[in-house]
Amino acid sequence: MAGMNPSSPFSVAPGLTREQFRTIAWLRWRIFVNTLRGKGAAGELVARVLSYPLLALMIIGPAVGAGFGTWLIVTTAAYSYLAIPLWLIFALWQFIGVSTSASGPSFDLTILIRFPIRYRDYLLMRLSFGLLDPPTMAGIACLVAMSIGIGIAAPALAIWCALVLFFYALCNILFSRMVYTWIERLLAQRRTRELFTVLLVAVSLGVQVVVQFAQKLGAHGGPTNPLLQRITHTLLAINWFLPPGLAASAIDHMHGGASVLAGTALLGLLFFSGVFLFILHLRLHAEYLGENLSEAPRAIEDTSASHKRSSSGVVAESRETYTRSLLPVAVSACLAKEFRYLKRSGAQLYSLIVPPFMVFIFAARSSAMSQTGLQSKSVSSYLFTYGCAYTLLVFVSFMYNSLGNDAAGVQFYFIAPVRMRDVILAKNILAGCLLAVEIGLIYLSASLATKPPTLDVTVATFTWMLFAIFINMSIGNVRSITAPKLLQAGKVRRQNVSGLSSLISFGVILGAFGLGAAALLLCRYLGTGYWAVSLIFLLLAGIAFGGYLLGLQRVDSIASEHNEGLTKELTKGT
Amino acid sequence: MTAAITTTGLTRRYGDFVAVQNIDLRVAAGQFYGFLGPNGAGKSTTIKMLTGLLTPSAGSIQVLGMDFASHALEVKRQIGVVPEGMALFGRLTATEYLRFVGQMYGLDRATTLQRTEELLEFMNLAGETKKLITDYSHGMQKKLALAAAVIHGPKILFLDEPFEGVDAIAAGTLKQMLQGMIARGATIFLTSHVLEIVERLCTHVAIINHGQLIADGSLEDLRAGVHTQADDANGTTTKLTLEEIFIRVIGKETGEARENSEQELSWLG
Repeated sequence: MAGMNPSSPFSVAPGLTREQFRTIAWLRWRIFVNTLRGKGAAGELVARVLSYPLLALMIIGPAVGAGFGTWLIVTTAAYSYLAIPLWLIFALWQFIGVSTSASGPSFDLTILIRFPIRYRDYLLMRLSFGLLDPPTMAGIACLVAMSIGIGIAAPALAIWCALVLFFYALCNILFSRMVYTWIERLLAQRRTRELFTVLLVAVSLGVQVVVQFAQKLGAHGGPTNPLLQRITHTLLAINWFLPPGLAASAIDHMHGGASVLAGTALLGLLFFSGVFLFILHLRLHAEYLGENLSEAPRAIEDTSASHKRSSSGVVAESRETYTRSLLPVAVSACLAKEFRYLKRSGAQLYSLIVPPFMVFIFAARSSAMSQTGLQSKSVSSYLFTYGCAYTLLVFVSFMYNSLGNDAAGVQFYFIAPVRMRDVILAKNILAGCLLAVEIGLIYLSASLATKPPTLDVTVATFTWMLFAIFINMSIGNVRSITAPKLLQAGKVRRQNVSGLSSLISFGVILGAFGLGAAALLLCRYLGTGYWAVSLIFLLLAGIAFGGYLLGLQRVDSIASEHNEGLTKELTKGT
Repeated sequence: MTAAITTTGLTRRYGDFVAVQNIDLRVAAGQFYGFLGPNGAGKSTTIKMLTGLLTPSAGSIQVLGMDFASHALEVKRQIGVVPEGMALFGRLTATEYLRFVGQMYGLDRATTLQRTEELLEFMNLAGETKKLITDYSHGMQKKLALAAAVIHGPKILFLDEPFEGVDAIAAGTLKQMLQGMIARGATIFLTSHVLEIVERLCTHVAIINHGQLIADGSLEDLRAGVHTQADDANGTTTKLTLEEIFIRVIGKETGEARENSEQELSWLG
């Protein structure tokens, strides 16, 4: 075949891989630079500059803690306790990722498969891009700080520790990539998505059962309870066979002079890395070969069946689900569409499941703290409040980019005889309903995990939520139109975000938290209790609602002003 | 003949760049109007302004006698649009999408469901109702976008490149529907690069280049305007095709580019 000889430019030359890496790094850099051009670029730049100190704080804070803690552990020769910071770093690495977006502009790396890239290079690219994500940077910074801490306290162990922690970092990177790549795969298809949801619910219930069980055991004899001791011993034994335990064990054994055991522990760590890499490889290789994450395979199977159905069957089925609504037709049509989208958006559903689940985690943590006497009484009293605040953090990302899921469909809102106000209202109604359900679930979770919150705390939290929701909706509606970002279905992490919108939402949330705290302190100072807090926030919520309605009136004119930028951004790639 | 679409001094600027300059269009009711031009000439910008996707920098648009700027909602009820991006919601099924569109245009339940069924049957999509739109092929998406654009029975249909990426069978289906609409008195305004189709379907053609309207009229008018009754080598007269008219109207740059390209890119092949 002409042009396909060994000297052909098509063959994968040795220098090409490096060039490809350089090109992709350049591409990412250009995408970053280009986001700082055009309308709203100045705001984006300011947002980025302002977000870096916060990011630095997020990374440096845990790193300083990890370094100092490790130094303390090593100087007191309690080497086995090294597993504790290593488990904490593991948790930080894996769980923070769910609620953080890409630190910079991102693009779908699967597009690379159209180019002449070898599989191993594709794998390497998938592994290396994303190393600048906040959780990865925080995790690596913590491990570096641990190395420094050990190096200062026991210089003889410095090199060995650095080696062990390097492989521990690698193990975490592989685990994180493996989990999120598979989650995206599972969320991409309806059947697996449903299974995954059931699994998550089961896990969350399981955690709740474990928490309840541990609390009961703690109440009957405390730490001396034989069953609790047996469980603790079993968990500790299992810990030594898992990556954080193996890494701690490798350092501990080397300190004790048992270099063979230390080497074995390190090999164990490498074994885990190998397993994670293999599972990741299964997914990435399928991707590399061109597997599509869409629901097409299932849909194709269904096609033959649907062919057999009479055409009137389509209408009959639709008639069953066609219900009358009290809302204006356009609003109810949009609401129905939004609900269908939600049902099919695994990433959004996953985000909705997380807050009640986090309540259990939080309850478990507070329960563990209470065993050591570190827990303050307020943790269980305010579990509902904390859960609601966390939910709000999850929801603001939807509120500030509510059109992102519509993609090219957003054009329809401009060509149809519909007001953008109705579209946004439908989105807000759905968000409000979901938040109401979420608050209910959190109330239930908090009640099951510890005890039901008192009525005054519940009402105060609820009024504070009302205030925060209306404020965020008012601003979020404007940002959704003026700074939209295309959202990719089925992606859990690294979605596009507007830096300025993130900064604004962060400021608004911070302001709402600050007002909440101020109102609480004021009422405590005046001795009026939580009912006065409720009253203050009811008043503020009323004002915020007024602002929301005024903002809603202006949505059409803002949309008309920004329709070009909005459709251009959301129809990218169509 | 009453005008379906009239524009006066229609202009769109992007900073210093003028994408569409001072265009005066008159599309009579019942016409099948082809709007042609090379890439970047301003076709899509014009159609976006005519359908409310883009606000003009200057000039006015009258649709069915109504000023678009002041009667946007009323105008939108009367028109159907298949824009460049097709305006589809990828994570709905075809049935759900058409039902949504019908509701948004204010159709009653029974009518929406009946038309959804008929349109899906007509477009050969009735067997694909379980699939999400995002899993449709490009041609299927085009057919669905057209179905959505006509579900409310518009008086004017705007189509931006309706035949792009569509196979011959699907193109046949689309043409059949469009001709049926014209026969029933609707007006169609389309942009297309497939000049053979435009020649076969359109009664009137306008050509835009560098944002300016450079030709407008029936095919016969255009032929007369560019002296298309050219003599061939044997002395007989040849009726030029729309493609030949298009190339002559746009100018000789295209021809020069073709000549140059024979010397360039010698490494190809």
